[in-house]
Amino acid sequence: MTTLPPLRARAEHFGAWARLDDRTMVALDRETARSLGILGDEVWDGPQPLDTTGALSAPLEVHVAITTRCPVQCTGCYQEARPEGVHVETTTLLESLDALAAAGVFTVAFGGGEPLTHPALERLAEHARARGLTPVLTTSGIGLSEERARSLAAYAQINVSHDGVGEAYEAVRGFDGGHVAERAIRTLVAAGIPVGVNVVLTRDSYGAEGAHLLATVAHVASLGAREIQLLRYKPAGRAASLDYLARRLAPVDVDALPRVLAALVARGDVSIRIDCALVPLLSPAFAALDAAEATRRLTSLGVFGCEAGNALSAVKPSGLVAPCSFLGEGELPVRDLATGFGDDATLARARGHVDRPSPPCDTCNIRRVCRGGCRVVADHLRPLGGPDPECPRVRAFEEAR
Amino acid sequence: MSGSNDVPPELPPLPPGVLAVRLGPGANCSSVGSVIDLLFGAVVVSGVLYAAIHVAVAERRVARAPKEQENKPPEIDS
Repeated sequence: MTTLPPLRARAEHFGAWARLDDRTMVALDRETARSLGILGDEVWDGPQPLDTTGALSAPLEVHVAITTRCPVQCTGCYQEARPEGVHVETTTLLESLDALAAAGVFTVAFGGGEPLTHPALERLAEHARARGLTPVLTTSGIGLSEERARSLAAYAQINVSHDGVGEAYEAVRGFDGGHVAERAIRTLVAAGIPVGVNVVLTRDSYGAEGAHLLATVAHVASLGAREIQLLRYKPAGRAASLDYLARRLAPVDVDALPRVLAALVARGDVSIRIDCALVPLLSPAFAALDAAEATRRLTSLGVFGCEAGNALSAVKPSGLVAPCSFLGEGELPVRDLATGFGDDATLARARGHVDRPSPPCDTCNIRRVCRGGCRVVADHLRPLGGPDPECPRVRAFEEAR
Repeated sequence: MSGSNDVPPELPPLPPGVLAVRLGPGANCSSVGSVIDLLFGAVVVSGVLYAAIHVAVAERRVARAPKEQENKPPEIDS
């Protein structure tokens, strides 16, 4: 009889989140969680919730910036990384991983800067694995040799940033690194490491009716990528510039997005993943459902909107915890995450945004999933507050006024 | 392709006791991602996936049963 590995699981108000393997997490109801030996009596108050919305006891996923060093200076880098940037000390990072594991986190995503510049990248993954965490990594691919790729085998997946074939990559990033990214994809695939590809959606990378994006996905799929991560362009770091408005998706691009996503999924040869900030852009596709059904449909398939300070948190190079990689850190050191997650004011404010909806979010039937759209975008474009203005439902509401 | 306001197709129900399935390790370092293959209608994939999840949960339950009889704590990292 095959021995099953220990189940990493965490009781939550609805039952529990549990990880079956690197690629599959499930949310279980209380009865099923109890049948698996998960003890949640302290948080299982009241009737059984019908979905997984609501505040969690700790993040499911934490993003850790391990360096601010990067040999290139991409136009839209949210960290403003630079060649003279510095690495976070390895011992500090190992202690951070211990703290994340103690808090019940499932996945740790290393980023930077360019994480390949950090000399302890392999050790971080092995330490994460030893603590029950699933380590993943995002890289530009710059500096990745075949030998280095083989040394990264402990990573569950490595994502390579590739913002488009042809001229799109340089238009988005400010340097022509497409060939480097493609070499990295091939090298990682050859090393047997699951590879995803990050594509930041700008007018250049998207194209008319998503034509550039469709071409990029077809190309990287042919190189062996198994997953495409689509990212909304966000005005943070160097991207918080005057040309943000000219670079972001145009309304006509946003309106076409559900059709483009359906076409990408229909390819069938790569998984399509959207980031939290893209969820509000899908709101028209769920307008015909009532709120309960729309919420159930999205949550049952694990779709997360702005989970900043809830399912998601970030550890900045300072060692302080932030609601997400784009938002500023508060005062909680990562070493205190297990005990301080629920009470930290910065995390609680981000987590509680969903409970303070302004029109038209207050009547949106995917509000409990979308959670009010991307605060990075909304705060940049509307410093005095207000809903995410790039959401098509918000746009229609404001045009009608 | 569907129109932008078409509701994505309904999928078969999740396995008993499962409220949500979240796929992929989530490999991006800046924002949390969600696989939307199922949301946008990968019905055949959902059938295979749900069956595998049902079996995986059942195996965990079976694997735990002898330990309960021996009054041992479960192998749970919770």
